[in-house]
Amino acid sequence: MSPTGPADSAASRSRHRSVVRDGASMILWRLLGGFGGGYLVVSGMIALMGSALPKVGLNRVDAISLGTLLALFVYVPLCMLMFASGKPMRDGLAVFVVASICIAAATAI
Amino acid sequence: MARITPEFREAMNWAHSWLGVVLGAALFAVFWTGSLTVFDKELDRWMIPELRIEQSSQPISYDRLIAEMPVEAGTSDYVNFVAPAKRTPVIDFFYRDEEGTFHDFKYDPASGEELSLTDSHGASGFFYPFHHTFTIYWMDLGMWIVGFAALAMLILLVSGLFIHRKIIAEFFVFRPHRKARRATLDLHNASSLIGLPFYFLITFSGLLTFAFYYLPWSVAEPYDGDTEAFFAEAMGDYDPGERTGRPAGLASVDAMKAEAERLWSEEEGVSVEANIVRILNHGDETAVVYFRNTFPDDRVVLSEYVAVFDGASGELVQNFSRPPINEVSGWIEGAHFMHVDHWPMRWLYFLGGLGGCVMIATGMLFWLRSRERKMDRNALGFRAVEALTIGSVTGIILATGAFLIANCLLPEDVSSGGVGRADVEVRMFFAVWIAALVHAAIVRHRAWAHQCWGIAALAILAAILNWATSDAVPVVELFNGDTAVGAIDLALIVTATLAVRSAMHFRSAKHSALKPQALPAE
Repeated sequence: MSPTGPADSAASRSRHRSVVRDGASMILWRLLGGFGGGYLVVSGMIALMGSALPKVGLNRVDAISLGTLLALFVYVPLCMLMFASGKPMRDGLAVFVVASICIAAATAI
Repeated sequence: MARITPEFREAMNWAHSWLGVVLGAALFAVFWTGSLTVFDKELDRWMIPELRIEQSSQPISYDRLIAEMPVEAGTSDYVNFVAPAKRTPVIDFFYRDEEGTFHDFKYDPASGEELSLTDSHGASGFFYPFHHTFTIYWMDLGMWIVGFAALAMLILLVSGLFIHRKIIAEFFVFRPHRKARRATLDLHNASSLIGLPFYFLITFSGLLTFAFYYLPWSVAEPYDGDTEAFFAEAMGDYDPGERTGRPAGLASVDAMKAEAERLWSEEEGVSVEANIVRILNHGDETAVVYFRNTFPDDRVVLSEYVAVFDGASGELVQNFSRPPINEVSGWIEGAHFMHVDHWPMRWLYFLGGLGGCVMIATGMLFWLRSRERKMDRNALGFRAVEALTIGSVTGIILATGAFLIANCLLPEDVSSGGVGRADVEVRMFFAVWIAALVHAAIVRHRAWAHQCWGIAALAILAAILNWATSDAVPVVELFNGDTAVGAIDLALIVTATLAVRSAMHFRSAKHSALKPQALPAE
C-alpha cells in the first residue's frame, strides 16, 4: 500500500493501481500472493521459529506454539496488503521472496 | 502519520464485498452448526432418548468394565473409555478391531449395563464434525475449506472496521423502520460490532485448534520430518510400538488411574480427574494404559495432562503436562470448545454464534439490495447470489428441522442405499438443504417467506413428535424432568414463533423488495 498525501493530484490517483479496477489476472495474482504467499510465509516463519528458538533456550514445542499463535497476526495483514497494494507485482514478489528466505533458513538450521 | 486513504478504503470495501459474497454461505453454515454445537450434548439427549439418564455419583471400576468387554476387544490395539460427565452421563466405550473398524458402546454408569441406543449420530456426531469439516473427508477438503473461510472471516472482520467511516456512531444506530436496505445495513453493522470480540476470539481459536494440521510442514521441519515426535511433545501422544504377539495380563487400571490423578492433583494444587482411559496393544506384553484429562468441565484449558503406565507392571512410563506456551494455545482452544460447566457462558456463546449468523446473513442481503439498482436482477450472478443467500440462511435452518423430524419419524430398521438409520437422517438434512436451494433459485425472493413458514412448521412438529415418541411434554419437561430436553423444546417453539413473524414480514415486504430504494449516505 502506498500512502497518499492530501496534496496528491487527481493524476497521481488515477495512476494508483487498485484491486477495484484490476483485470482478472491481476486479481488472481493478488489472491495468490496474499493467500498462497502468505501461507508460505507463515509456514516458513513457524518452522524457522521452531528451529531457531530452541537454540536460545526455548522449548521446541513452545517455539512452534508461539509461531502458530503469531501466524495469523502475519497472515491476515499480508492478505490485506495484497488486496490494498498499489504495486501488487512488486509486493507479491516480495511476499514470495520473504517466504523463500524463511523456508531456506528453517531448512538450513 | 499514516492515515486511511480513500484507495485503501476502496480496496478493503472490494475485499469485504467479494470475500463475503463468495464465502458467506460457507461461513453461515459454520456459524449455524457451531451455535448448535454449543448445545450438542443437550441435542443428543433430545435426539437419543436413551441418553436421558441421571448422572451417577457411583465410582466407576474400569477393571470391571475391562473384564466385561467383548472378547474381541481383549486383543484390540486401541480400547478407549470416556468417563461420564454432567452433560454426558454415560460411559462411552469403543475399540478398534483387526480390520480397523471402530465398535462403539454406551454404558449406564449406575448399573454398568450396556445401553441400546437409537441409531442416530445426534448433534455431536453430525453438527460438530460438519462445523469443522462440512463432512467432506476426501483429502481433508472440508477442513481446508472451513480453514480458508475462517481466514477470510478474519479479513472480513478487519476490513469491515476500515470501510465503515462512522463505526462508533453506527454502533448505536438501528433503524428497522427505515428503507429495507438501510435497515439491513444497520443490522449488519450492529450485529458486527456488538459481537466483534467474540467473532475474533472464535475465529482465531478455531484456526489455532487446527493450526498443526493446516501447517504440517512447519511442525514437522524442526523435528526433521518426524511429526509423531512433535505430537508426543505437544500432546503427550505415546506409541507403544508393534505388538510382539506374546500375551500378558493387565495390572489394575483403577490403581493406575488413582496414581495418575494423584500426580496431576499434586502438580495442579486442586483435584484433577482422568476422563479418558485408553489401553493400547491390549492383551500383549507391549500394552500400555494411557490417561488424559480432556475437556475438563472445571477449567478452560482443553487438555493438560497425560500419564502412561506399563500395562503388565502398572509402572509409570510417562507423565506429560503441556509446556507453558503450548498451554496458552490449549487455553485459547478451550475457549473455542466451551466445555466448561458454566451455563450463562454457554448461552452467551450460543447467542454470539447466532449474532454471527445475523451478521453474515445481513451482509449477503445488503450485497443483494445494493446491487438491485446496478445489476440486472435476472442476471445469472445476481440470481446465483440470491439463491445462495436464501438457501444458505433459511435453507440450512429448514434442513436442521428436517434432520430433527427424521430423527423422530424414521423406523429403527430403515436403510437407504446401504446406509443405516443414522446416515439416513444426515441424507435427509442434505436433501432438504439442496431442495431449499433449488426452491430459492426458482421462486426467488418469495422463497424467504415460504421457507420461514416451513421452518415454523418443522419446529412445532419436532416438539410434538418428541412428545409423542418419548413422552417428554414440551416446556413442562423444563421444570419437571430433563431440563436439556425441555429447553430444546422451548427453543423449537421460540424458533417457530420467530419464523412465523419473519414469514409475515417477508410477505408484507415482498413488493418493496422488488422496488429498490436509494441508500442514504453512510
